[in-house]
Amino acid sequence: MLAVTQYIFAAGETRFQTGVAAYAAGQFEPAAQAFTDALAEQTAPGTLVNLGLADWRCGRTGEALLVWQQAAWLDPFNRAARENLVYARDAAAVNLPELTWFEEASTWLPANWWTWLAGVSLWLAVALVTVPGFLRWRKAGWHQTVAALALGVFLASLAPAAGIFTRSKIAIVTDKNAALRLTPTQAAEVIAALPLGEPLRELRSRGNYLFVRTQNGSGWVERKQVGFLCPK
Amino acid sequence: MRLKIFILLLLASARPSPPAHAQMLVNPSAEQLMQIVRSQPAVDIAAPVTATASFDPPQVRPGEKAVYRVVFNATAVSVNLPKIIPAPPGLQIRLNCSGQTMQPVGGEYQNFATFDYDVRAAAPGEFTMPEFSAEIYGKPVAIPAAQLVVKTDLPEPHEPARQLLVEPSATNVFVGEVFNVSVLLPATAAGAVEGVSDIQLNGDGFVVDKNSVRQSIRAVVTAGRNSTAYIFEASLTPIAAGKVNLSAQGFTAGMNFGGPISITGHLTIPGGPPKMILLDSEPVAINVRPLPGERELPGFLGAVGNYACDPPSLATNVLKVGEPVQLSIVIHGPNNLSRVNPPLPPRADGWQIFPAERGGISGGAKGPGASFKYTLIPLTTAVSTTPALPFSCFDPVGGKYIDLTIPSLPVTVLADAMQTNVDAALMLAENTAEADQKTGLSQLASSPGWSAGGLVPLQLRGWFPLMQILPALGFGGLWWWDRRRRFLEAHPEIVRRREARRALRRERRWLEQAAASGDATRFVRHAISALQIASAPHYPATPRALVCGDVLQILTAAERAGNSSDLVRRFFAAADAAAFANRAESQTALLAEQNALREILQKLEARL
Repeated sequence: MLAVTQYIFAAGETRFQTGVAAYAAGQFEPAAQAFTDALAEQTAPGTLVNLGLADWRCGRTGEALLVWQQAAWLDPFNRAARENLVYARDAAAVNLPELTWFEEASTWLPANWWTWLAGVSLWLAVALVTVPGFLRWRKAGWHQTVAALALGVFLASLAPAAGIFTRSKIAIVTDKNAALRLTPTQAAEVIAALPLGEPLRELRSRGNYLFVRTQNGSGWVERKQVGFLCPK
Repeated sequence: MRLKIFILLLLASARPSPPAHAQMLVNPSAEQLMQIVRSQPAVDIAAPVTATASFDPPQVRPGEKAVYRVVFNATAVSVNLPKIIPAPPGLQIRLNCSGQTMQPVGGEYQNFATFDYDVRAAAPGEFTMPEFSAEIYGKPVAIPAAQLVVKTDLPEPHEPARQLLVEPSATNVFVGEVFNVSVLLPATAAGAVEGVSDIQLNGDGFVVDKNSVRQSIRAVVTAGRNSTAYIFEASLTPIAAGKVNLSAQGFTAGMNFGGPISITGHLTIPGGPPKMILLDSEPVAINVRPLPGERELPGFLGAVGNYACDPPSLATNVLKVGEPVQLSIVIHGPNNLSRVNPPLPPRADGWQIFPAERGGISGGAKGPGASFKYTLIPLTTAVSTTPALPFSCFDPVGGKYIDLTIPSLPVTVLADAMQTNVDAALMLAENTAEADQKTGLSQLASSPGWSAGGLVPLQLRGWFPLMQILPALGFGGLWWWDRRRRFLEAHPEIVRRREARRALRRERRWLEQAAASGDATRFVRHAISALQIASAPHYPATPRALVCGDVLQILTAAERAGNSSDLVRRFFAAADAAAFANRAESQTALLAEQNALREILQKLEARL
């Protein structure tokens, strides 16, 4: 299994380097394809940043914003992803996603860290409270202290973990013809045209349409015209 | 009543327009709003639902289209028609369109839903659509029978089924290219023209510009003959590429035009209340081509058409640092100017540029033009021209993008020695810092970075919640183990008996092996040991400490009175004799007592 994993990683790395070489040669389409292939082997923030750069050079503003957002989702400490997002939003004149306080808190750490933190801290607190009793160890003050700290960390990480869940409903417009419609049909009245890269929040879905909330109102948009932060 | 209008250009409205101030209340109160609601006629939804069915026209020629029309006094969404209606053999029928309208009935409004089926018969005959039922508001409603006569020879003048006609100004367009569509309702054979209300253009991937809607009645040539027709015109913008079927539907509305209308020519408009008959059109195929993406120019914001820009004008060419100045541009185009997006303000060193403000549409020598105003603030004296505003459009006739970039204009920026504009100074500082941060995109990442399992968060992956069961099971197991341990500590006899049972089974196994090999000495030794082990937990005592009397105490009175007691004594006596008197021969005879010993041991084991 280790050998298979190493093989996959090596294949992903090769495609990544192919993409870097193509990008350096000014061949942005092949570069984007190579980075997409690398992502199929191995999801990594660096690959997402590079794919965004290649998409941007190819004029795919929505896709570029989406993958940089995904890079920041995986690794909020990735400076390149953050800076590119700021630059691209400014250039494309699109809004920032509106985040609640707990969603804002969830951006401080990589998406999965909060969940790991909540899980580990909960079981650590439970272990420190129960295991000394089971094993008839002498109760020590540090047991109580660490258990209280772990419980505190668990409670504090619940809200960001919920924020991660709700942020997974955020999507980015990737189709330049995307339109916000009154009803979930092709013939429905168009409420507004959606600019590329505009963030949306999925509220519910029906068939091929999503009922979304944007900063300019709510309506239905075709599923294929948007990309989710965490694809389903 | 019939109304004659002779060569007249008329701009009329169907309903008298009250004064403007009465049309809209400025910030009406809740009570005023309630009064408006109360003043409207009530909508009758309690009336019993009935259905009518008819063929339009009732007589047609073979292969000619007729419309089978079913009308309910209910909302369209409440009607649940059978998917396959019971058509007689030889009659081809398919649902074509449906619509809903509201009509006054006895001082109240009622909803009427109409379903139009396209009907054709290949051969002459009389066809009767039988009575069938539909479900409305969850209850069955009977639809009466209707008859269609198909004859080769029909008396003249024969009027075919009335239909709307859709005439697009173009059938091969680009995405975003505005084109006009006319929906015509030609006059009847008797020359009567009536309006059409609730016109709906059916087709995927279009945006209808409702501000562009016009209606008129004028002479047209349809099917090679001159006639008069009601014409509804609207501008459409395709928003998706591909082949699209465009059709129209609407209700005949008599002389209710619902808005301004231009009437030209000699015509007859039927008076009286309108009949509100749902009509539809044959679909027209529109080929929508995608824009060529590879040759797109900078500043393309979706403007498709023959656009042009006037030279920009600046309020003044001599500025001071921090002093705002207005840059005006005018974009001329064929139509749809209200939808044209102005050029995005570029990021330019030394300038702060605010997004354009729409200034309205005005006429001119070059045709109508949409004006936009940008506010620019020079942040330094180093700038000598305004930044160019990248803008381009796609010319659908030439099939290429056209660069319409708004050129730079020369300016002279003077320093403000007094630093009176503190805001400008602050903005300059902020902008410089911001510019340092946002000089552009990052460099390529040199390595993919750490690998993540995927973008889906852990809590949404199936294995993660399941994995949480493992520590829960571990802690549950620990808890159960601790509870069991405490219980056994409180009840040591359970442990003793369990250990005795285990040791007894072992001794019995060795006992059987000794008996099978005929080793009497081993047999007796294991028999004594088994008896001691089986009796020890009852005292409790160490098994080896028990003597024959102790074992006999464990036997019941009946067993003591029987052979069991004797057998136990013999085993202990034989063992004692072998141990203390060196007489092993008495042990050999005991091999024959294997079955009796087994019974005793089974009884003792059962008491553990």
